[in-house]
Amino acid sequence: MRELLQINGEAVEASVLPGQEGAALVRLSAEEHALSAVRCGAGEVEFDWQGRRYRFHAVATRDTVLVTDGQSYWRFARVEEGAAESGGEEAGTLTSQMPGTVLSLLVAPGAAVTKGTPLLILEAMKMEHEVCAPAEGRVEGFPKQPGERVMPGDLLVEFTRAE
Amino acid sequence: MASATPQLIIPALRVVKPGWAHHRLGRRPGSRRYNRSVFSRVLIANRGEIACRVIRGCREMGCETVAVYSDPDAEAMHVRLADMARHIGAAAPAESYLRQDKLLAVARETACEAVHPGYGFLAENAGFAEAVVQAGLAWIGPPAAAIRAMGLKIEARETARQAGAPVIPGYEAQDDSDEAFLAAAADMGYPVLVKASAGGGGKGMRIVEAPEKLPSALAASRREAGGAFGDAKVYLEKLIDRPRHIEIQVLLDKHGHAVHLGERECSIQRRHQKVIEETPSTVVSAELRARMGETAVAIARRVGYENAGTVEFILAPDGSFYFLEMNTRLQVEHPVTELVYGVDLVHWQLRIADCERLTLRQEAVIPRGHAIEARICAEDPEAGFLPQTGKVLALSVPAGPGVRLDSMLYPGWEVSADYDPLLGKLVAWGEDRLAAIARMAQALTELRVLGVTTNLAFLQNLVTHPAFAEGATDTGFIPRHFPHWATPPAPIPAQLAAVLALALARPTRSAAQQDGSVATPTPWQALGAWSNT
Repeated sequence: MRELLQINGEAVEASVLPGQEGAALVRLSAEEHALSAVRCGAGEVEFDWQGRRYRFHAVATRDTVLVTDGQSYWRFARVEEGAAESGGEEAGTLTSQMPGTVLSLLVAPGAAVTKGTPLLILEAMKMEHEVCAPAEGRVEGFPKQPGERVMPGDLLVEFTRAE
Repeated sequence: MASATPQLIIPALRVVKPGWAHHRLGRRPGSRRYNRSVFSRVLIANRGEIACRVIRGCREMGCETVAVYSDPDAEAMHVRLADMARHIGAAAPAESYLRQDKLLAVARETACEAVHPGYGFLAENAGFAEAVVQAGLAWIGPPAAAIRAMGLKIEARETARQAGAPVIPGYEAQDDSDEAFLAAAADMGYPVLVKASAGGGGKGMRIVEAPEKLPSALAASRREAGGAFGDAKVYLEKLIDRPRHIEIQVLLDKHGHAVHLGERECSIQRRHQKVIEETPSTVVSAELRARMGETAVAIARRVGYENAGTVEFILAPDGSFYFLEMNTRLQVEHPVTELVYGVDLVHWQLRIADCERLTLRQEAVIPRGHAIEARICAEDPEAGFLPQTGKVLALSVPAGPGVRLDSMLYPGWEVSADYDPLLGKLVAWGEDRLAAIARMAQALTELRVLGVTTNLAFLQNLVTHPAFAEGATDTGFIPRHFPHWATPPAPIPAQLAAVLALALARPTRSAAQQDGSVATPTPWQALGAWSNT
């Protein structure tokens, strides 16, 4: 198995070489880690590494791997082969993080705004959320009009940062 | 004790009153009968964790339960727990959980004797309380008149004033022009709080620091209040510096008996949404508790309150307290009171609705130990606490002494965007506050939810913060101590776990790609089983 995972902000090539009796060699970028007594199942992963036993809850979905030790929750994006370079978010766009409805637009398209200026009100989960300018810049337009439903990832505001 | 005798006569007369009582005239009011049902069948007009909580309470009292559900809730936990369930409409609350006609029709068809509204939805809707009683059913909650009297905050403040309770300086006049509000705000001094008259849960609420921000805050608040409650009326209140939210639980029966069950402190909030609640409060002495409790009971009596209710106060650093509002329902955070006072509030709600006499005596109501509740929400603390959706792919629940989990989660449950992000509450009891905190931290480690992003890791950081242990909890706690919360970088073992989970999921990836999730692999697999790619 060989795959690209987004780990701590970097695309890391990961692979597993299963060994005998629950042993495994896991490669993360150039580093190799020897694991033993590996057990997986029911959303849990257990293994010995460097003399210590570790137990995590971990599941893989189509596009991420979710891991927790009960203290922290990590989300590792799975990077499609050959698409490793498109990891960065397109600069200057404001997309919806959740499903909701556009309630109102607070500035006119073309308006120059300062950082933190409320641009649009989104209603989601019965609450109003203000979408604010991430920086000084200009509002180019609003792809969604008041009353329209939006889904996560939908572009809400076309925005250009000031130079 | 001779004065108590006349009170004994009144209940007997009251039992004969409404239509729903006829079936049980033969019963002696006031008798405890855990082995016999109070009502034969109860409609639970709610969803989520509170519906589950109430269903459990009903079944413990020998009542059958009827759940209702909307389209996305067909497989919800409350449906699975109830004796029977009826579909009542589409996802939007206005088409299902708020449809009084459908709820009453279900109650009629399934021969329910009573309706429990939970919290939210129709719990504080006086019209629904009335309709339930008119349909010949018992309403497990306060009388419609009491809900009405406390529902409009402006009127509630007046009621509290009449009951002798102090209220926060505010502006609630008839002239609701921006100019009038500006003048009033200048009088009381900034910062001020704009609140929706018919509000609740922080909706329509805005803090205003300076006059130039007031008009836009008024407009936003009116719009939000109009949308959420159908009433755009707002009022102004002076913002108390470093306030503590202290609320008093009260129980009143239909026979004129009342007790207060101490305070709950809900001072860890985020934008007026409660996050952590506890009892007892670190700043409430026995003497202050008694005074606040008596004030709360006096306010409740003033509106003819019956059943469980909560009176909220703002406690200023100098120890003065002000009436804020009365919540005429069972509160989200009721479990901490149950653990510390050894009472079951849902049982008492049923018994009071069934005309039983309150057998708790105020002098015997004594707090024991300390309890803390953490609200588990589908929200991302790293992304401004935005509500999250997703399917529960892995779930592990805490156990052990003093741990209670009121939750709607189970593996495979799909959290949708249609409802409140509250998934459940984790409650920990300990002999003292530090013991309760330690137990909460341990329970939070054991409680694991994968598949939908939750605030669990943030809660863990919150309860283990030294300032929390010191009890320095006011409503500014989160912005002060957690201005920019972020997940720490993944250590190597977590990375190794991710790679192993990925390798395990690999064989089923093609099936997984259809719905974005992966079937949870059954029992422990040896490594060799997934070696081939």
